Order: sequence, then structure tokens, then C-alpha cells
Amino acid sequence: MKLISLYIENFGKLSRWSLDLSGGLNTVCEENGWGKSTLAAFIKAMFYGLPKNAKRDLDENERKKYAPWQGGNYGGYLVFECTHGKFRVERSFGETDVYALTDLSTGLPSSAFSETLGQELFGVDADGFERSVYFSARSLAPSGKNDTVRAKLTGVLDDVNDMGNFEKAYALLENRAKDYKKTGNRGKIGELEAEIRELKEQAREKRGLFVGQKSKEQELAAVRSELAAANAEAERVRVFAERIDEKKRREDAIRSLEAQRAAIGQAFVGEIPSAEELAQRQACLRAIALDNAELRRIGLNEAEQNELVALSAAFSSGAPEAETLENQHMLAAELRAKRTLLAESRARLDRERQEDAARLRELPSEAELREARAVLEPAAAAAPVTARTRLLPIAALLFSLFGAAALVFGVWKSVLPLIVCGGAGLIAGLVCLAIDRFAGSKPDRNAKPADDRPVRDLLARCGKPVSENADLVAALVGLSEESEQVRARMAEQEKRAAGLAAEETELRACENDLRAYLARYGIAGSDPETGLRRLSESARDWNRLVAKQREAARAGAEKRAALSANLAEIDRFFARYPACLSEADPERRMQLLAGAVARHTALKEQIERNRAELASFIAEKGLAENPQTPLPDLAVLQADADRIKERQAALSERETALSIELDRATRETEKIPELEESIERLSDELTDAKDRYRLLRLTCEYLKGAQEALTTRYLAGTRESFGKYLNLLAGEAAPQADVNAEFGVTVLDGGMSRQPESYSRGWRDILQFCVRLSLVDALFKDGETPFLLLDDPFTNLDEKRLVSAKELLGRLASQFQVLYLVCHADRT
Amino acid sequence: MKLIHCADVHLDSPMNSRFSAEVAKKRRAELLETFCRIIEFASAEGACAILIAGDLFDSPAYVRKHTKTIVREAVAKHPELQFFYLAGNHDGGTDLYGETDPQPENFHTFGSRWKTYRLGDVAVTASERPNAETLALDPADINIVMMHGNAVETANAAKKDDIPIRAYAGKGIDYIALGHYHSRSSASVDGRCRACYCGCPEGRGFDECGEKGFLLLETTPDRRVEQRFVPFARRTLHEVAVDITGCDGQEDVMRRAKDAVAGISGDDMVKLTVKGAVDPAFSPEYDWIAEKLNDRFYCAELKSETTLLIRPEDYRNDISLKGEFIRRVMNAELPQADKDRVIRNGLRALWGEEIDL
Repeated sequence: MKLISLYIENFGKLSRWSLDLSGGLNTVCEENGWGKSTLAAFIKAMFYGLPKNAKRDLDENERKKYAPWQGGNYGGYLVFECTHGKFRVERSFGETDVYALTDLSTGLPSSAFSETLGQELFGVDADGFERSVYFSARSLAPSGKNDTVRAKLTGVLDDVNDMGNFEKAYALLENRAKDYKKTGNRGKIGELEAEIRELKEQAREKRGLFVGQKSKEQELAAVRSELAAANAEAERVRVFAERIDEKKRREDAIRSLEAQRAAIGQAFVGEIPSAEELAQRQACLRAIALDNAELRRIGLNEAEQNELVALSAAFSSGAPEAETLENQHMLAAELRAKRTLLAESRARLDRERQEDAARLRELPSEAELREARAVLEPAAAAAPVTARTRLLPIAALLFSLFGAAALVFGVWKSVLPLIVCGGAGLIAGLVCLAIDRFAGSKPDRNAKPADDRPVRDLLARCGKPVSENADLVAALVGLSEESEQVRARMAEQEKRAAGLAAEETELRACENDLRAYLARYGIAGSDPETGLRRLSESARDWNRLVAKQREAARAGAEKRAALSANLAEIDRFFARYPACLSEADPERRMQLLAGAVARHTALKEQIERNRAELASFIAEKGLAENPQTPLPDLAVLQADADRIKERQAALSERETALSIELDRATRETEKIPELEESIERLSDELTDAKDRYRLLRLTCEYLKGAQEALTTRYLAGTRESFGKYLNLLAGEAAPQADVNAEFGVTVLDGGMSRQPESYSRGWRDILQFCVRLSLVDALFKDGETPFLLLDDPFTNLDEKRLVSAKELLGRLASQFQVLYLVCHADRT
Repeated sequence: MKLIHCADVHLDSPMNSRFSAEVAKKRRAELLETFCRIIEFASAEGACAILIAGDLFDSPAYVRKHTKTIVREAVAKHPELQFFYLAGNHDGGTDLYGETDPQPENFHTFGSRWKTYRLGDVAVTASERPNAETLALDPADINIVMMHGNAVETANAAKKDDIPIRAYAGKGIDYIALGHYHSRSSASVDGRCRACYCGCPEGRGFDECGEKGFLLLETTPDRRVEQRFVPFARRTLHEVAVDITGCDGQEDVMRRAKDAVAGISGDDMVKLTVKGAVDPAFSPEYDWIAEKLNDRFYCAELKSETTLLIRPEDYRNDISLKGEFIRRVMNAELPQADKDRVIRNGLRALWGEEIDL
């Protein structure tokens, strides 16, 4: 290929600068700082673009490094020619990079190459480009660590990704292998091995526990057997001690009973009453109790005594006779009847008086009657009226009522004067009735006045309305008679009122007499009949109590005599047993005595029974003592029991410890299956991991081998070119040097391999320059021939080598288009 | 008369396969449960005895107290059954009954010499160290002999645990109840006698696949002993292979896997071995398939034994790194499985995909 021209709009310090190039050698000789490296970078940028990155170091960030100093559009264009034709590539760099490729034969945009123009043209990436066709004094070493260069070298242009991905693939496999194994026995294999070791150790320990388990089980069996024997011995000692203790307890009990019995015997001073004697005395006591109860029963009780005292105060001179009281009762009843009659008479009189007074006020006065008679004069003169005859029926009624009442009361109370008065009253009533029947006369009702209206009004006002044809005179006479009758009744009522007042006075005097009678016995305030009833009751009570008191005095004297005899007998009996005299009450004494006798008898029986049981117990339990085999002392047995107990405690402790150990061991050994499974599982995993690791290493090994095999394909040609260029540059002075697959140079000097760093800068540049040229030969022996971009690579050469270099440059220009950038004319 | 012949229960045994701890624990519980169910079965069937031909326990070192208690309770619960327990090589030193738990009358053990127990006209004879020369039986009896070891078709024992069954010919034996092998098998000893392994009642790993159970023995009126296998395992273990050659996707592989395990009960345990040739560019997600199988079965395991579908001539002239790599691996002296895995993962690395190792 060939560069034809370029134009830099703005790129670093270069601005609006253009260059036309010819085939062969093109020299740009400018002083230092002109921008030769910028020009080289521009050419590379036209083919590869300027990738964006965030690095601050300008050497690592070309986009930033070559940003236009003066601003403006960042970019330019380049015209080139290749086997595909003649093209112009334009690029500008900004927020959005612009790429355009124009086919200059048609003037139309071309799609012959994409934005990765450089890679498509040269078969290497930007880095590979810089390391091959770009020769700079700054870095001539080509370095083989570029996959695209390798890919290019190995001729795998069509599958650049394949070779290009070797390093990533290798790293991927390496990293995966490191997951399994790392330095310091780390990684999954190491972890699994450690885990398996740990589990195996646990399993070994647990199996060890099982081995120890057997001996411990035997020891546990022995301990349990010994413990059982000790328990049996302890039980034997305990039972024996209990029996001895029981025997002693029983003997002590018998002794205690005997002591109690002896004490009771001492209290009786050698004489103990027989059961019959006790029964007799108890009967005597019961008789005393009965007498005492009888004495208490026959006397006045406290309430009665209090009542008698109270009544005696009222009846200090004796209680009233029953007959007297009866008379007083009758008198009081009579007074009550009289008072009733009196009250009725008074009420009746008051009512009559009121009625008559009212009637009198209704009736016309004498003057009014005279006026009325004057109106009716003719008639009035002819018909006199006798009002007197109207009084007789009333008198007959009154006499009859009085007589009947007196007669009934007299008969009821058997009072003769009342019966006589009653009979007289009835006879008087009959006489008055007969007189009224036969001696009365009728007025003339045929007289009639001329104007009788006033008379009629008067009659109507007096409640005596008359008909038209009525006899007005007779009516007036009737009014007149009625008026007289009313007045007569009122006078008679006054008389009756006086009589009733006298009766009242007499009645009150009688009642006062009765009250005075009651007051003598301390009864006051109430009505006489009630007072008399109270007096009668008190008198009856007083008489009953007095009689009872007298009867009690008589019976008490008899009972006391009998009681004295019994008490004397029982006192004599108790005097024989001073022990019971501590009690004052004979009953308590007798109970004490009877209890003591019963206890004395019971103790005797109990002692006999206990002795029999003790003998049986001794015989049954083999506790009979004899001089040859005395029974052991309880203290000795206790000492034995303590010793056995200590032994039991020690054995129990050991048994518990062994049981715990065995349980623990069992629990641990029970985990062995899980452990075995885990070990098995982890061992499988380990085998698998090791196998995977082995396969990963194999994969790495074979992949690397494949990569190296491909790499060494170009080595022979590279070595040949390197020797040719070295000979051209150094001639006979050239050292014996060789290039390896990694583009490293080794110099054989004095029988030893030396690195280029052992030589001067000039020789080093020569060696590396030759390597780069041989690399270009190897890279581009087929396909597109690239241009060479030499950025003052001979600055370190001496004059002789510079001459050789210029000659070589001429030769190269016949093979490649060379753009030689130099700052010194001497090196052109 | 009916008798149960069982053996190799291996109570409290660690599981042989890579079961999870939880599954292993449950399986141990199921071993115990199955043994108790055998006893219940014997009782319900009207059997009069259970012959345990060794390895009731897996190891005296880790048999659990709880397990012993359950076994003792099961024995005590069925006084109508006679238990004849011959200790196997795994049982040695396991004390089912001890000082605090005296051996019941219906539980019979054997020592290093021949010992015979009678059940009517059946004589049960066994020894922990069987020696044909010292065995003397009454041919008039129905003779059942229990032994635990490695039965060989010879007349002499080459190893300590060998049982030379030919040496027992003509001894008047009607049935030899064997224990030690976990798969059932039988062999004729002489015209009268058959020697049978009943196998283990439950598989403990995928090395013990297939039907498991015990043998139900029954004496006939003509004084023979007939045996019938009774499948009795709580779960059956299956090992199934599936060829995924030609599969070009995950669903395709899953479909073939499902087809392969179709018909297997969900209560069972399955190990699926994936075989066949797979294109290097296709990497089946075996973990995903295993997860799906675990949802379907009580327990499932997946193992890949696939090979890569690579034709060396395709890479003979390939000058790429991939071609060079494959050529070198294919030419290497490695097992084919290793080659497949190296190539698969080398390519995955080159493609920037996750490494399957």
C-alpha cells in the first residue's frame, strides 16, 4: 500500500498542515519540537482512530495528548492506495467521532473498510501497528506480547480471534485451575484434603472411643456388680440394725408401761378400788347429782324470784281477795255500759237539738204567722188547731225505747232496779200512744182565703207547699203547732241535758273510786277495766309464787337431808385416795379415779401383750441373746452402715462417670456412619477436583503447546531476515545474535549468552531495528505491503553505523514506502 | 411351616453412594423400618421363625442404642416368632442384648461351633465358623443350615470367609441360608439341598440396584423346603443409561432422559448415566437435568460418560490455534474421556465461555 497525501486540520500542535507523499523514501526533516511524533501519531490515528479512555497520563491517553492546542476541529484526512483501490479516510474526534471513507475512483463513500480500517488493512491492531511498522527511537523493541501480531505472524488472519484469545483463554484456564490449587496448599483441593484429614481424625478418635468403650463396659459391669453387693450388704446391716432397734424400742416401751403402772399404783397407796366399789360410788355420785338437780328444779328460778320480789313490793299488805276483784270488775263493766249509754244519749240529744234549732229557724215567727192569719182571717177563725196532740207519739216512742233498753240491760246484768224501770218505761209508752189515738181532733180544711199568695209563699218557704185547693188555714195551724212543738222539744232537751250532766258527774266519781283502788296496788294511768285485769293477773302470779316458794322450802329440806348423807359417804370414799383430791369436783374426782383404775388395768394387759410380742419378735428375727453370740451394738452397726455407704457412694460415682463416658462415647460413635459418608463424599469430591485440576493443567499445557507450535512457524524466516539486516547494518562487526519466538534477542559473546542490555545504546538500537525489520518481513510477506514510519530511529548510531543505516534505508525504500521523520540533516 | 430367610440388613450403615446427608440419614431409618416390617410380615404370614444369616448390623463401632432398642422391642413384641441370628463379619462384637437387657427366649444365637435348634421337625443349625467336616445332622430332620460368607463352587475353602458348598453335599441338608452377598442367587448343593443368598432387603447405594427383599421358606408335606423371593424394599435403586448422541439442545437431552426413566416409581432412587457422542460446541447442562430428576424421584444422580463428536480429519489442515490444539490433544496418549474433556474445555476457554471443570 502507499500513502498519497494527508491533511491535518488540527492535531496536537499541528494545524491546517498538509503533506504529499511519493513512493519510496519520504523524508520530513524538522527540528526538535516541530511535531514529528505528532505527525506519526496522526497517521496511526487515521488508520486506527483514537480510542477514548480516562487515563490521566498523557503517554497512555493519546486522545488527550494530541488534542488541538489551538482548538478547532480535531482531526484531518489521509489519502492512501491499496490493492482495493484509492481511498480517502477522514476522521474527526470529539463528543462523537466521525469516520468517513471515500473511494476516490468513484468519489462516493466506500464500505470497503470499516472503522477498524488499520486492523483490516494490516491485520494487526493499533498496538501491533505501533510495534511493527512504526519505528521510533523511543521504543524499538517490538515485544511479542501482542496477540494480533502473533496471529498475523502465524498466518491465522482469518481467525484472528482464535489466536488473539489465547491469552484470555489461558488466563481463564489458569484461574479456574487456581480455584482448585493455589500456592500454600490453598484452593479447593487443599481445603478438601484438610477437611478429609479432619474428618478422618474425628472418625479415628471415635473408633478409638469404641475400643475404649469395651473395657469401660466391662468395668461398668464390675462396678455395678460390686455396687449391687454393697447395696445388699447395706440392706442387710440396715435391716439388722432396724431389728435391734425395734427390739430395744419394744423393751423400752414395756419398761415405760411398767413405770406408768407403778406410778398409778403409788397414787392408790397400795389399795385399788374394785370395779364393784367404783360402781357403787358412781351410783352414789349420780344420786347426789340427781338430788342437786332436784333441789335446783323445786325452788324458784331467778326470774320467778325477781317477779316475787317485785310483786311483794306491790302486795306488801297482801293481795286483794278474788271476790273483791270480781266485784270491782263488775262495777267497772257497769260503769263502762253507763258511759256508753250516756254518750249515746248525749249524742242523740245533740242531734235533736241541732235538728230542732234548724227547724225552728225555718218556721215562721209569731209575727209572720199573725200576718198570714190576717190574710186568711175567715178561715183561720173557723179552724183552730191543737198542736199539743202531736207530742203524744213522740213521748210514746221515747218511753218505749228507754223501757226496752233498761229491761234488756237489767236482765243481762241481773240488776233488779233496772228491770223495774224498763217495765215502767214500756207501760208509759203504751199509755201515751193510746191517748194520742183516741183524744186527737182534725182541723177544717174547707176554708179558702181571697188572696192567699203570701200564705202560700210562706208555706213553701217552710217546706210545706200546698196545692191550689189545699186548706191554707190548716196549713198555717200546722206551722204554728209545729213551731210550738219544736219549742217544747227544745225545752225538754234542756232538761235532759241537765240530767245527763248529773249522770256524768256520778259516773266520773265511781271511776275515780276505782282508780284510787288500783293505785293502792301501784296501777295507774290506764282505764279501770284494764287496770283491774292487770291487778288480777299480778295477784294470781303473786299467789302462785308464794305457794311455790312454800312448797320448795318443804321439799328442799327433805332433799338436802338425803344429799348430806350421800356427800358424807362419797367424801369418806375419796378420802381413801388422796391422789384424786386434787380435783374439787366429786365427779371429776370419780373420773380421775375411774380413769386411773382403768389405765392401771389396761397397762397391765398392755405390758403382758407387749412382752408376748417381744418374745415372738426375738424368736422370729433370731435376736435371742446368749453369752456366745451377743448382739452387736447399734453404734457398731451404724459404723458398718457408714462404711458401706461410703463405698456405695464411691461406686455410684464411678458408675455415673462410666455411664456418662459410655453415653458420650456411644453418641460419638453413632456419628461414625455420617462421618464415613462425609469422608466418602469428600474423597469423591477430592478425586473429582484433582481430576478436574489435572485436566485443567492438561488443557493449559496443550493449549500453550498449540500456541507455541504456531508461533515457531515464523521463527525460521524471522531469524533469516534478522541475520540479513544485522549484516547490512553492522557488517563484519556484527555480533553473533539470534532472535527467539518472543522477539527477544540473545547475543553470543565470549561463549556466553548475553541480553542486549549488556551492550551500548547504539548496538541495542541496531539489534532492535533489525528485529523490527525482520518482524515486518514476517508479518507482511503476504498480502498488503505496508509503509514504514521511521521516527528518527538512528539518533544513537555512530557515524559508521549511520552510513550503513542510510544505505539500508535506501534499500528499504525500494521495497516499502518509507516516511522518515528526522530532526537533523546529518541523518538524512 | 413357614420361615423367613433374610440377611445383610446392615443397620446403621453408611450409605455407599454420594447421597446427601439428609437422604443417607433417611435411608438408615428406612433400613431399620424395613427390618421391623419383615418381622411384622412374618407374623402376619404365620411364619414361625426368622433366619438372619449375618450382618444384621453394619459395625459394632457405631450401631446406635436407639437401633438396638427398636430391634429388641420388635423381637419382644412377637414372642410367637423364633429369631435365629447368625453373626456375620460386620456384626462381630455387637451386643444386642446385655446385662440390663437379657436375651429373650425367642431369640437364638450361635457360636463358633455348630449349634442346632429344633422347631418341630425342622432343625436350624448354624455356626459363625462353619466347618463341613464337623457338621453332623440327622437326615430324618428337615435340616436348614445358616452360614455367612463367600460361597464357592468348590469342596475346599481357599480363603477364610469362603464357604465351599460342595463340601456340604450329602450332609442331609435341605436348605442352606446364606448371607454376605447383597444380590440374591442360588445354587444346587446336591439332589436334596439348595444354597441361597437372599440378598439385602434394601439397597444402600447404586452398587446395589434392583429388586431387594427376602426369601420366604415353606416346608412341604414331602419334607422339602420351597423358597419364594418376596420383594420388600421400601425403595428400589435403578441405574439407567441414556444415549444423547445427536441431541442438539438441552430440551432434547432432557426429553431423552425422561424417556429413559419413564415407568420408574417416584419413590425410587435413580442414577442416570448419560452416554453418547456430543458435538464440542454443545455442552449439556447436567446439573439442571439432575435437579429435574431429583424433583421427580426420591433421589437422583447423574453421571456423564459422553464423548466428543470430533473427526480428526476435520482439523488436519486447520492452521488455527483451535485446530492445532485439537490435533495435539487427539495425538496425545491420554484416555479418550480425558481427551474429550480437555478439548471441550480448551475450546470453551478460547470462546470465552465458562469452564466446565
